[in-house]
Amino acid sequence: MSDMRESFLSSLRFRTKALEMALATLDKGGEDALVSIARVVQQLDGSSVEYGFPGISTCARAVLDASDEDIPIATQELVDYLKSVSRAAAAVSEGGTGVEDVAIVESPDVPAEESRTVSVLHVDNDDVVATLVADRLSRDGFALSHFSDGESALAEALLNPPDLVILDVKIPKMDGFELLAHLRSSPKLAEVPVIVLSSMGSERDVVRGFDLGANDYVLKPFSPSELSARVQRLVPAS
Amino acid sequence: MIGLFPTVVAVIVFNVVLAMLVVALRLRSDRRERSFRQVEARWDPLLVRVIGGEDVSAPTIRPDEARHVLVVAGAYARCLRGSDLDRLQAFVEPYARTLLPELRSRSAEKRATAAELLGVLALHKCSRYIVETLDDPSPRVSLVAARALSRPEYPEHTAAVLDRVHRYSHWSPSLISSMLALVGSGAMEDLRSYLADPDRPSRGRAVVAGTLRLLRDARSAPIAAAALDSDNPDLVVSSLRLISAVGSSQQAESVRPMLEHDVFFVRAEAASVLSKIGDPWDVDAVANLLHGDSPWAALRSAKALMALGERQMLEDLSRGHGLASESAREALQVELV
Repeated sequence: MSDMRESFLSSLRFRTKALEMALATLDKGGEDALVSIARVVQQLDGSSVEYGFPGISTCARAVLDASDEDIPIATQELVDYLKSVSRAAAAVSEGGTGVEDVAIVESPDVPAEESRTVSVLHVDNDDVVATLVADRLSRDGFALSHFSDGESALAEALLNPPDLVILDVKIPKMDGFELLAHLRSSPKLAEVPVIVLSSMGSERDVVRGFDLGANDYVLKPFSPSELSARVQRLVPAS
Repeated sequence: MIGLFPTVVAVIVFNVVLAMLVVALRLRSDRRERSFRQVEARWDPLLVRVIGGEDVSAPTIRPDEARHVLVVAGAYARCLRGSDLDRLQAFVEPYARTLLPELRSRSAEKRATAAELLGVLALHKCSRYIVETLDDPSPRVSLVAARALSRPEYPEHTAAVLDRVHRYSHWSPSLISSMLALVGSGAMEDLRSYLADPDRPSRGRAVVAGTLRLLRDARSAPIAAAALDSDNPDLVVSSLRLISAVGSSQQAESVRPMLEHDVFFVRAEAASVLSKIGDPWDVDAVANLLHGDSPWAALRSAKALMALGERQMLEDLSRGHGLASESAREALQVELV
């Protein structure tokens, strides 16, 4: 179990580092950092919502809106907020402090007790696909966490079992089929619906996916709207 | 010593000029990269919202940034299909024509990029230009255009692509077969006609036989049987594989003579095909390959015999020495695994 936590925390450390780098660019007036920050914050939001980061997606949306309106630099309030997110994420990734320490970053705009949203864990190392899936599913009311390799996704799933998993087959460290087999062999995750989203569309691959326990198999190129409908069928959003 | 001075000066000047050139190129590249990142940062979230179905009141794409926006949109378009793709295409389509001059660029890379982007973003508006690009002097650019046109929504372009298949001899036949198979059932008639036409290049016909195999087109089995008359071993093998995938005992009569073909890999393939569509009395002819000069044909023959239910024959053979015995042992081992 401690290995799983360590794996999750290493991915958290990576994202924290990326956030700090983007913040450093923002401090220097770097306009491009807005989008990078929004992406990292969205990833942090997805993967660590259970660690006390409610409200980060509000922040991410604010960054995106600021970007849309061509505002060259975010407000100081936003920057301060992001810095506190970065500090809190770093504190969690140190391993010693835990959930309580990050309560300080909760957005005052977002109530701490929200109605529980359906959580979807998405594993894909293609950023474009990740963006498309995240946008569609978050619009449709799902809480999405994204991982780009099989090992950290499995670690996260074991720590915080999601309501549904979407996985690609060709992913680093542990391929999607192997990840699927692990999910199905875990008592905690055996019943979690899994959708394979892959460009591997041969009959053999599709049959293998279903044999391993996939509930659905969607081929790339894909329609995010259709994917969302398939997710809705398996786990209706609250 | 004095005579060397001008040479030394010339070398120094040359190096200084070279260094300045490198710095200038690097600066230009950095500026382009920065400019692209800025356009991406501005347009990426907006394009995602467009794909998501939001009614976006977008600022007009400036002519100088249109190409960058299309590159960003292209990355999304390659992952998408259905109504999400339609929305993105409708949004960027008015700007796609800015890529047309690039189809006539001196740089083959630019021409290929333009053809690919036009293919994913605005094929129905720009198909005429992409069809013209099939005749690009560079086979690579032509192949990119062929790939852009090989889509199930546009089977009408299959004939034009097939007319240029012979240009793609530098690429793996299976790659070209897979590309053509993307068109799907709408391409069947054109593909069958191509395979049936002895005046077409043999290599192209071999590629098309591979496509029909991927598409599992049962109606092409008799055409493949007729193509076995070809002198080109690649076409013969490709046709045999097509028969193996979709054929029946009706083609067995055409396949049997291939067991005595001059080329060993044709004999090997024929043995394999007969194990699927042949009759019990093909056993002897297939077994003859065990005693030939080709280890590959012998092994395929042994595996074919196993598929024909001749396990006992192989077990008897496996106790001896020589090529036939080794092949029999190998086939029995594979069966065990």
